[in-house]
Amino acid sequence: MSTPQALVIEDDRDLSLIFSQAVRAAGFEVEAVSTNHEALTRLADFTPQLVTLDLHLQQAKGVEILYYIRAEPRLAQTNVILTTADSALAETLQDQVDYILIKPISFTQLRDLAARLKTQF
Amino acid sequence: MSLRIKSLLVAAFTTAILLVTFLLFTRLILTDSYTQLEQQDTTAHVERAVNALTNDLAGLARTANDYAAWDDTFNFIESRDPVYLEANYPDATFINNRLSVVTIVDTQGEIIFAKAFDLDQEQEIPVAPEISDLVSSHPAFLRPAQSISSTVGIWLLSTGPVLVAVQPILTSDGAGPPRGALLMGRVLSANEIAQLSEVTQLTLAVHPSGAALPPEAQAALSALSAQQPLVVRPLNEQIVQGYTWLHDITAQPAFLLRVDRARDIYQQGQATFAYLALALVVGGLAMGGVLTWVLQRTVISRLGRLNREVQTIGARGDLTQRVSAQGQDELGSLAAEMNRMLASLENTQRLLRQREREAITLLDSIPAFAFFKDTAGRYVVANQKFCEALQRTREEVVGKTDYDFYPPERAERYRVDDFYVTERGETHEVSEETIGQEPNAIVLATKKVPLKDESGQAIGLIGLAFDITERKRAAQELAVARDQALAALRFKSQLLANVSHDLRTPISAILGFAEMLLAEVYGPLQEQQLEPLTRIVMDCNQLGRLVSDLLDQSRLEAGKLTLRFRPFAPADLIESIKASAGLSARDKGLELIGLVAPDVPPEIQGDYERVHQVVLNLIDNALRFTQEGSVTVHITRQDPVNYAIQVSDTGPGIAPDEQALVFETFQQGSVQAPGRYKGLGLGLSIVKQLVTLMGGQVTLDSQLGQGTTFTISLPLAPETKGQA
Repeated sequence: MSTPQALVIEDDRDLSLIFSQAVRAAGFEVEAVSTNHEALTRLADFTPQLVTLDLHLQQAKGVEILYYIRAEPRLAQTNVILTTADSALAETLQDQVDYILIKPISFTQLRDLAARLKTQF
Repeated sequence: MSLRIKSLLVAAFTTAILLVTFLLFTRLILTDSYTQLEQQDTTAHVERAVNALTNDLAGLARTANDYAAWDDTFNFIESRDPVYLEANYPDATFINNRLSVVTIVDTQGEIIFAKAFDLDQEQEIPVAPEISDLVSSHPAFLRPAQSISSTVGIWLLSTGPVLVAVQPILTSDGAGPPRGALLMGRVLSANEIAQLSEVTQLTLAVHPSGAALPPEAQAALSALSAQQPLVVRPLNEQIVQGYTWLHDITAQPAFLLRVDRARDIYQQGQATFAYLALALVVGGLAMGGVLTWVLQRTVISRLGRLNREVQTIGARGDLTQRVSAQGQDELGSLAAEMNRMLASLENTQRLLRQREREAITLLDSIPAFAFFKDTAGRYVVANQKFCEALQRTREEVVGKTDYDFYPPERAERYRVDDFYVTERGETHEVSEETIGQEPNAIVLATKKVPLKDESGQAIGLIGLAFDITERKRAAQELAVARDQALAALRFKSQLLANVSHDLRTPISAILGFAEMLLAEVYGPLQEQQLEPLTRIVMDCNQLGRLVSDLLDQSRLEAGKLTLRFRPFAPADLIESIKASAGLSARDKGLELIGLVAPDVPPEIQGDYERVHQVVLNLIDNALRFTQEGSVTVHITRQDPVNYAIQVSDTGPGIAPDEQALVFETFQQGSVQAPGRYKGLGLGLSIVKQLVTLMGGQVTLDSQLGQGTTFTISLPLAPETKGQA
């Protein structure tokens, strides 16, 4: 079994680093993007098992990426962890995502969650 | 017609009727009795006259007998001696015995002597030829001589009636046989009648049979019959006449005897009646007068006075006046009763005026334009405020209509409104009507209510108009203020959301880096570095929850917090809680225990995020105040629907007087964690608000020194469709 892959979508540089480290610590091979455009471009030919998605990207709303993933059959097995500071917005999307983490997000919390998800593969 | 004249007329009429009736009856009865008396009296007098005649006849018979039953006469028949004739039948004999004729007849029927004498002229006259007829035909002279009888009666000669007496000629001893008959006659002349009248004191007259009769005698004659041989007839007012037939010796009617009598009895009756009538009329008039006088004095004049007094009171409308009440009778009682009624009316009127004053005062005191109108739209009452608005006095307003005060279109509009109110009995309301032009315009709210009498008939309306200009302005200002406040609230919420979002990112970064350091991602740590790094992590978590609390509080205030129900595993909840709070617990050396009762199903349903948040808030609170021991979270099933999540600690407990306050916003424990940062005091308040929002309740059981147990009771039954 190959190493599972994860895509961290986060425009804040610090958080992107932390999330990447946490997911990597859980045993994923991690790529990180910071914009909507980069995320969509990357997802076009990349099939990660896990995506952490920040809803408040600078260029566009992260929800477009969520819709894309959910609409793409190739990404049907992809787990999406929503990372956001807006719990109200997150709640409106809880049926379409697998997990919701409200900022501030604990490094260990994300690491442990990712580790738990990794065992599924 | 006044009562006085009426009563007078009635009295007069009644008296007249009584008098007339009485007099008529009296007259009828009196006349009848007096007529009867007159009849009887006259009849008696007629009979007396007849008797007088009969007596006259008897006297004549006696005279005849004196001459007939005498020897000289008896002998004379044989002797025919003229001396006898000369000696016994001179004129003196005729005059003295009032004889009109003497005839001596022998038994052969031969007249031996006959001499006639006119008593009036006192001279001898020729013998009437009828004498020989009588002698030859009458039975008294029948032969044989033995049968000659004494006969008296009347013989009607052509010259008039004659009283005749025939006696047989006998000896002085009365021995027979008779030698003939002696006839003596007396003409019933006027003198004779007059003499008879004198004797009888009667006015007599004779009407020979066959002679011409005056009309009254003719009428009496026709009334006479065998059944009624005597008739009494009044001739005139002065004289009454009695009639009867007297028959001759051949039993044929000889003459009609008439007796004239003055009508004394009748006139006495008339006079009696006249006196009676006079007495009655005078008495009746006197009685009527007295009656009228008494009536006038006791009733009519008092009634008249009462009437005048009542009319005066009525005309003046002055109910303080009283009628003069005199006497103890019905009139006095009536007057007294009227006075009581007047007193009652006066009282009622005073009360009415009082009510009217009260109503006017009330109307004047209300801060509205108030008025009554009748069905014709005329103002009946208007209050001061209304009159002032019209710049008129109350007297100038009452009786006028809207057309007198307003422009025609406005008055017409009001008239139409009034019509609906009075004709249809509908209450008419105009919630807002602007009168005039800005800046002097006023806004009125008008209400018109139908006014009805006791029978439900519309008699007008009550109108109230409130000046709501100020209220309207205030409401507008209030609306503006409210909009501003709402905008400020929205701004606050948005600001809070933005601030909390912007705070979370750096907090997340600080937390993440600290955790990474702790996890020795950046290399091994020295022992003395662990403590500050752990503090950083814990304070970051605390900071994160504070930001969440602020955001939640603002959302709860704005009512924008919505619930999302979904199935979740109680075990996952416990696990997540332990992961979040474990570090803090371990740091304080406290044991964090998570328990799920065996009868709790593996999956229940609810708003996981909110339940998580509530429980974590309680645990955070417990960890903060507990210095040693443990904090336990325990999920149990209360009933098929409700589940309890208990968070217990072994802390100092909460004083009873503080227990009621722990759920208040911005309240926090005063003694439990001295010297430590206590947060905003939002945690337990948010717990309570969220639990309430989720349809549950939170209770607290604590004693000082015995620890504290918070119990959340929530409807978390699994798979209840339609709950979310």
